[in-house]
Amino acid sequence: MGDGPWVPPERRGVGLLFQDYALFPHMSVHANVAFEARADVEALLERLRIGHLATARPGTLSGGERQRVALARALAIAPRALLLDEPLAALDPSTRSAVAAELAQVIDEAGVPTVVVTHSYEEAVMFADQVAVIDRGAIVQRGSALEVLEAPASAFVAEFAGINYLLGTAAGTTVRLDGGQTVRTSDPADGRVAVLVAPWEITLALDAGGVGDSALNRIPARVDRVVVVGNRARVTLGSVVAEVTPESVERLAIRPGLEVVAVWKATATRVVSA
Amino acid sequence: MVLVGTPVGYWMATHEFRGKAVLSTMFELPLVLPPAVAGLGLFAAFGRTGMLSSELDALGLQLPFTPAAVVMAMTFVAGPFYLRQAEAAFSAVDRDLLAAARTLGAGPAKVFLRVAVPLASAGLGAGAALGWARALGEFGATIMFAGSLQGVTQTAPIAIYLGFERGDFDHVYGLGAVLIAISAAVLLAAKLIARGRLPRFAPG
Repeated sequence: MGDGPWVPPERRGVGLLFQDYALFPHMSVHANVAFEARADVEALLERLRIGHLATARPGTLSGGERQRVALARALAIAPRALLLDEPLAALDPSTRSAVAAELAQVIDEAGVPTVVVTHSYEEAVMFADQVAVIDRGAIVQRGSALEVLEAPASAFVAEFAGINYLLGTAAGTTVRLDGGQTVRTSDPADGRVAVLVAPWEITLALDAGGVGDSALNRIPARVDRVVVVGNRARVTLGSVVAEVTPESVERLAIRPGLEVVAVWKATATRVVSA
Repeated sequence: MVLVGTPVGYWMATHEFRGKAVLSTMFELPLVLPPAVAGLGLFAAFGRTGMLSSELDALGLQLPFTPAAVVMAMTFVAGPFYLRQAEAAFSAVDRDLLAAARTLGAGPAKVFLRVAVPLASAGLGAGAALGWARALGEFGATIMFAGSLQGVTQTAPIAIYLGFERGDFDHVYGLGAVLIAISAAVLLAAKLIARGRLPRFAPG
């Protein structure tokens, strides 16, 4: 793959957390962690709150417990770095956020430089000081999670971060989108641009009136899809995604096929050249 | 057979290399070869006038018609049974487990002994039992290469055949009954190993 010399995995000193944890099924939890341990196994088990599972076989553990065992095993070799391969992918969604919070805390306490591979921007934000977005094998942007969110370098990054990325042609503070609509922005620009607007900045209205409303952008659109995730509802309107509360979805009876108006302030948009 | 077949099976299961198909065909050849031909081949290689006779003479070794020849003939014919089982058993071991052991700092030998062999043990045990059973019934290669010296190189099946020729039926039926009992016991043991161990080692 890379250049550089080949170092056999056993001499790399990199603790690797496999996506499905790869615990040795024929060994107890304690034996798994002690396999090549250089650290105090008992202390590690206690720290990760799996001390009571020391004699259990991996097959009898829950997903979250298995992950802690795998993490303990990786930390036991006193690694110089940790690599977590989609650490939450093997968990069911109901336990994912609780495990994620714990994992983030363990990583913090371990004090080992850690690379987390994920397909979820939310996980990236949760774990990372630095985010690098990889598209087709190359890093297309790196920076803090906030930097990536505020100025995505491409449509791919914007989509990953969940930000609307609307291509158009700017003339001053007016952008004519490729779809034909016109958007007002607060940053003047000229030529080919992308208008960025976060889904949570967009409100939905049932009529185009807007008298007595300061929001300058009022774009009529048809609802394609409504997906409720936890306490948010993501409403897809063509190329635009709006995030509103499930209560609003119910109150306005928002459903696929309904004609609505997507409303946001000019100051909620940012413009980057495209 | 187990000492050589286990690492070779592991190697075959975990590596892809040029000529692997040719090599595995060579290893498996004794499976389909008529045992008499296998015995003839051993004789041609290790016999008194065989291809390696001068080397063997230099070492002061004489193989044909000795107990060592019986073992060689049996290993030659039964080895592939074990090797195939071993390769299949190692192929069934999750490669991530082997990779995980490596990232933890274990060298290839420790990965083999502590992870691969325990996880493949059910298949290895069954393979050893089947190979042993095949060796027990070995006739053709043995009689060609080791002959039938009573008390030295005469195996049970050969004794049965010769006894049958002589009309010594008491002797023959007795020996036959012993072989049936041993074979049934081996087969049963192989099944028990496979059933008793597999669920415990199943990942998940």
